[in-house]
Amino acid sequence: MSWEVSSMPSKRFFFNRTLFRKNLSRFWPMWGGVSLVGAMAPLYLLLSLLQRQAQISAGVDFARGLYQIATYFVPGFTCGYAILCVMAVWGWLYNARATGLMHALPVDRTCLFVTNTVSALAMVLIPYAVAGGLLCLLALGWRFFDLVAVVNTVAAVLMIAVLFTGMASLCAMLTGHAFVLPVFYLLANFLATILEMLTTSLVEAFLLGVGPTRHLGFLSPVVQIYASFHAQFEYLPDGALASCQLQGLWAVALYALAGLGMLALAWFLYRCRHSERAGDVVAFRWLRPVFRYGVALLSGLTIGRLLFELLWAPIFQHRYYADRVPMGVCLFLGGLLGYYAASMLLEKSLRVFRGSWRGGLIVAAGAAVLCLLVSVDAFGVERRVPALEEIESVSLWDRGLESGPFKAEDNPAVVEHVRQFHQAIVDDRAYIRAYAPDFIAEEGKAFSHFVRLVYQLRDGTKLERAYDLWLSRDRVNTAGTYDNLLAEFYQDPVVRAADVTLPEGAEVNSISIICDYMVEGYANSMDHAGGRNTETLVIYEALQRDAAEGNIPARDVLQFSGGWDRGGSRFYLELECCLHMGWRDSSYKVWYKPVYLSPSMTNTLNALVELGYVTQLDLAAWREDLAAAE
Amino acid sequence: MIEVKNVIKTFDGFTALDGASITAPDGGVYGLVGPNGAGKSTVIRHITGIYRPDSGEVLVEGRPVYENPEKKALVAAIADDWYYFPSATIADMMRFYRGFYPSFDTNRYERFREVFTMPEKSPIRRMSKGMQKQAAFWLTMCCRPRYLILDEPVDGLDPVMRRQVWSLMMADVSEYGTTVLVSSHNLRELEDVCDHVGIMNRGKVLLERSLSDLQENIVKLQAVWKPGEAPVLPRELEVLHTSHVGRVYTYIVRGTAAAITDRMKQYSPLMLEALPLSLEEIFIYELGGEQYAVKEILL
Repeated sequence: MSWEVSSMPSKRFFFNRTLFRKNLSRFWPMWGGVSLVGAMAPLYLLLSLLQRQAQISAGVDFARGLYQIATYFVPGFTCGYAILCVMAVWGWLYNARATGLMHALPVDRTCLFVTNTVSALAMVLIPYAVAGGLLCLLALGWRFFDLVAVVNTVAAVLMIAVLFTGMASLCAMLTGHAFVLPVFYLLANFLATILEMLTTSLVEAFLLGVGPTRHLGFLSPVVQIYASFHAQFEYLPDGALASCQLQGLWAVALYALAGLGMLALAWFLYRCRHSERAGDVVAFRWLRPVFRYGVALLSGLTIGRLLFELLWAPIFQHRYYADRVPMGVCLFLGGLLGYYAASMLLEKSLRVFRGSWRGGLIVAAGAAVLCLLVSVDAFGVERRVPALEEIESVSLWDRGLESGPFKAEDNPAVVEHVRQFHQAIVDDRAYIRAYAPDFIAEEGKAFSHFVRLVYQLRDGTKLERAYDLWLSRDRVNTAGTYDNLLAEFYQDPVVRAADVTLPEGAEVNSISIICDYMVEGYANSMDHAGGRNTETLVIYEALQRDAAEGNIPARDVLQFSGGWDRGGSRFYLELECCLHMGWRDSSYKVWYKPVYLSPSMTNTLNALVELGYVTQLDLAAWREDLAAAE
Repeated sequence: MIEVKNVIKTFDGFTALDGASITAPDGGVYGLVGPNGAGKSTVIRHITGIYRPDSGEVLVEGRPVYENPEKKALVAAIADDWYYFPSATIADMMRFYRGFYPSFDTNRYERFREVFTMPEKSPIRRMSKGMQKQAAFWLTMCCRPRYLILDEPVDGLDPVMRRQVWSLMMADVSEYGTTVLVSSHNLRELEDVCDHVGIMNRGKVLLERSLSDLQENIVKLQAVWKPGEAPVLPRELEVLHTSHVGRVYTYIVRGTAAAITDRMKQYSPLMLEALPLSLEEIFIYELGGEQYAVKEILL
């Protein structure tokens, strides 16, 4: 061979077939095994079809099956499987000898990156192609093939594969250690959610009413995809499936774009990465402080909080809300532990203490600043009460009271009342923090309430607050206190009507009638008006007529049942309510709503009499009992 | 030509190369020698495009080699810790190399079967260290590199195979003009094959010359003086080392043998003889000036 041939200027290649083949041939047991398991689904369908047990006969059934796989199985599985594929193709990056071999080859890093990424994607997609291809063949053979469903599913699978491969590749570039890669990947998927939970937990320890937030949920792709990517089904009156559509594909597309972005970033980092970083926990020097103090933060928020809850709070803290100094100390100790653990990982040595006082000081300062910022409510989270013009609607839940959402356009007075109630809580927060009732001395005078407020704001965001409040009869009679404003809220006719009305989209499944005043009726301690049948609807409509006519009595804010179970006997309805969540065919919310009956609810009482659940004699006995209790 | 110009490379604060410079001319065998930790392997990893220098340049045929597939295709290396894929056979690795090196010579691979009599279909990991080294030579030489870079190349090979491997490489040097850059501690072996030598210590190249220049510019003199009359040699004679056994004095002096002998004759020794230095001796004495820690033990 002459030099002229071997030294001809070569074209620039972005893909190397040899490396691609090598990647696939080295790891065929992995993708081959997964493909084999994946092929079980079409095999099962084939056997079902042959035995005529398959509940699939039309294209829409096929589409439902594909969409269910795409929405339930694909995101979770791909999330886990993609990291294995990426670890397989980039495994050599974590071994100095192997890195030496690969980086000495006459290809540039772009070529290595593109080839490895394509290899990883191929390994992710081959099992889907095998299972999907076989399913399509079966569908074609049995003539229930649906092209649109196939295209949608393929698009979804491709996009999800790009997202998780991109994310895993980015993590692969950030570390030089094979065992750290899955940890980074796990953090990349869930860090935002975990951090939000931990921060909320810290905030809850200091601030009144602040509950869980989900502002950063979108940074946890697998969580967000499961929340927004789903199949929508429509059924015919006879229960047969009429149509199904894939919802939230746009969200998956956005994440796929983010996946492409992460791939681009991974490529950039790979080009900058030094070969000698093989074996290091963090592959870039500039990332080391981020790792060190990031671990310290996470450790502070978890171990520090745990220390506080396990060691300090049960022994020394006698109030519900945390004290600044002990919490700060616990955060510092937890943070310091994380700081040294991270340092040991970075230095690959246990000797990291000498000269580490600066880092310790930074952790201490961080814990102090964090504690101070949260405890003094530096960002006004606790004090925030939205202005009326900001509010689109508001809902209020108290024990036994579920009201709303009240729209600002329809019920501005109610919304303003809720707002004032919220403001009163905020104004009284020092009292709420300090108040600890003496249960013996104040028995029957202080009443515990768990109040939850949910504002839907005009900018599309939600503001949620939840308060543990103590109400007392004295304060109920004092104008302007939150006790008084809540009692007034209970009196509002609109609220009273809303209390017996189900929210939009919900329906009543069944009604239980609980009555202890039976003389000759057949409703004893508990009876059901059956499933979603005519009797249920008749009772509920009567209830709504009472609401419309203003027959629902005002409840006593200090009594759970509103005062209508006096005398130790009960007479109320329990509505089994159901709300289809809309984003999953089989997902719905069921809850029970008690409706305490009063003599003023004539429509409802008449309906119960007409349906034969109670008699006029029963009602007379009940009324006598109520009058005696008065 | 391979040029390493003022390369500095640090690893987490440790300076592995501190302005190292090397020039390996085409068609020769360049021996890179130095104590452990001198930076030889680091230089080699720069030349093969694995490491990116913090500063300075590493050029192959006048162009930077890092991220330059065109130049890297001209370079093939056998690292001290040659890597093969787990469970890969020699045939697997051959196909792998063939896919990357445009000049890979399959015919040569077939011909070398007679030289390297090893099971091609057995996993390399099951082979002995020496056989793995042979496999590395087999595959690397089939890449037909214009620049062959070897880090401790014949470690683990038996004497016969060493000779065979060197003869194959020398044949490539003479027939194709291959440039060989070799790092080794086996200085006697290097002495037989190298025409240029670079001595490294502490990340620097202390000297770099052709072996003949090197040997001509340092001389070992053995002189016998009358009892009690051994002279103190003048400063202009650059004496690197002095030792004596009885009346026989040994001097290592920098300079040509003729000039030094003439100068020494002025002191009327009973007997004076100039001897050539081996590469090993040059290595030791040159590093002696660098406070090489082992010198007293060696001497």
